[in-house]
Amino acid sequence: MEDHRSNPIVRMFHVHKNYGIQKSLVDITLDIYRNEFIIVTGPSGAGKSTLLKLMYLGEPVTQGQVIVDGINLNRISRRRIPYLRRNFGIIFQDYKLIPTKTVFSNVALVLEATGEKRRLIQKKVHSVLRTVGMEHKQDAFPPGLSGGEQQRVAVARAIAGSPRIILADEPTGSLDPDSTGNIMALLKEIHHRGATVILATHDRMLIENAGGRIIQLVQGQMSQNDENGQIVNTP
Amino acid sequence: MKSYIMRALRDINDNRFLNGVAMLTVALSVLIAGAFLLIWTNLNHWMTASESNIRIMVYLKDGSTEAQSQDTTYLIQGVDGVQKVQFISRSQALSEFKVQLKHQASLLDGLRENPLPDSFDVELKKGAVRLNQIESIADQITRMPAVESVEYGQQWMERFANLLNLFRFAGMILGGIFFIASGLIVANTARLVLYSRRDEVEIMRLVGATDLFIKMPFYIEGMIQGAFGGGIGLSAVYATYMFMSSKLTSDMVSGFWRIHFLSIESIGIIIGCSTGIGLIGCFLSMKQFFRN
Repeated sequence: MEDHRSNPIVRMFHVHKNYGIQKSLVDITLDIYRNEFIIVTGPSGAGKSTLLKLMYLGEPVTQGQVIVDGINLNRISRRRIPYLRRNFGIIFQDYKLIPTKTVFSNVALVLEATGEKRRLIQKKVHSVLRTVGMEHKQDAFPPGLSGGEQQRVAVARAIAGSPRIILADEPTGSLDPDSTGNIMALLKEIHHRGATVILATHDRMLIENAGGRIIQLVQGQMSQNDENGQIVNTP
Repeated sequence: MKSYIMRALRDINDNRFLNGVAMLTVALSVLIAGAFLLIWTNLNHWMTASESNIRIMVYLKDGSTEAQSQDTTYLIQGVDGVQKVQFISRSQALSEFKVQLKHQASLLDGLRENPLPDSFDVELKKGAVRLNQIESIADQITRMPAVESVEYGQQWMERFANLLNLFRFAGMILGGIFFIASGLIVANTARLVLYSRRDEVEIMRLVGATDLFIKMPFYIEGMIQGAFGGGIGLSAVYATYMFMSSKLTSDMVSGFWRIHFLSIESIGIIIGCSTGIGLIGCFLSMKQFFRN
């Protein structure tokens, strides 16, 4: 395996994010390497979701720089943003599935948006639905599924485009323990297949069992575990 | 492109009421603009037919000599747009008048002298002259030395031309207003559909869909609304035309009154305009929505 430590896929330099006068993130400097499993944790309102949003330009930074796969997001044109987002597979706590589309169509949307051929779309969608164990529900509509099933569809959608980075924002926040276990197992598998996984959560059990590097946010400021697993404040 | 069209058709089906209202508004605009255009087209046909049948009567001054009459004949024949010149002597005119009067012809017996002047019946080239050219021809003839006056029914022709212009102007203004209103309603429909599906649009953006991928079905939807609305409006104009046509042909015997429907070019332009209005309406909504 390549030495991923020499090759950051996401870099943040002295990043600040304000909403009006409220400071959401303060002076974040961070490197995330290829094929890392990162857990961003902290209490509600600590800025976990904001940190993830800055990576796919869901929000612009107030100050500082974010670089994704060598692209400085401060300099990216509006037209290039969709292409930047294709590097990410995003999983949300509230699933964000389109209720009027079937499971199949929800997953296929990612591939349609990137202009994939119909035959390839069919093949890929079946493949990812099989991976998440939802192939038998491909014609169902999201409102007819349980929370755990909907989140598995959301995971399928996130991995359908074979992105290099998976952003999971509180993916198990609304799920029972069994479903949480399933989703975490899927995220681990995706990570083992080579993707960089960035998981935002405040679930202690999850943090203890997940492994990987932990980034802790408290009131927008960051600390992370060092090589010995000790939490250190940065910068 | 096929998938865009399929998505647009699905959207229309999902939002039948909104799309139906937008189509009906476009149809109403086309009906009004089309009705004016139909009236204007037919009046114009009639005007052209009248112009091609028009004759100019040229009256010579009292005491004009035969040589002057001859010169005037040549001069009139030299005027561009003149087909044929026929000299009518004052005596010939009087006898023709007597024939026209039939039983009342004895009324003219009491005349001591013939009051009618020598004249020319000037026939114009068919289809080659319009009202302004007739005026120009008449003006040239009036300025000839032996000519006293010229008549060609100028007053009613001018009135008729003014009426035509009024119809054209009113049609353009009303059609324009309704087309703008249609554009705004189509824009509003697109905006409502967009707002009702803003979560879906947001998800599409998050998964890396380009603006074009998101917008294209809406553009197609707008064009379909415009084209279908235009088609419905034109069908209503055609139905009105058929009704009027059957009424008029039974009432008026002369083929002179035959009603013409809009030309293929006019139909193409109307459908093109209504499709364009649908597209512009959507474009305006998209611009506003994606700016936010």
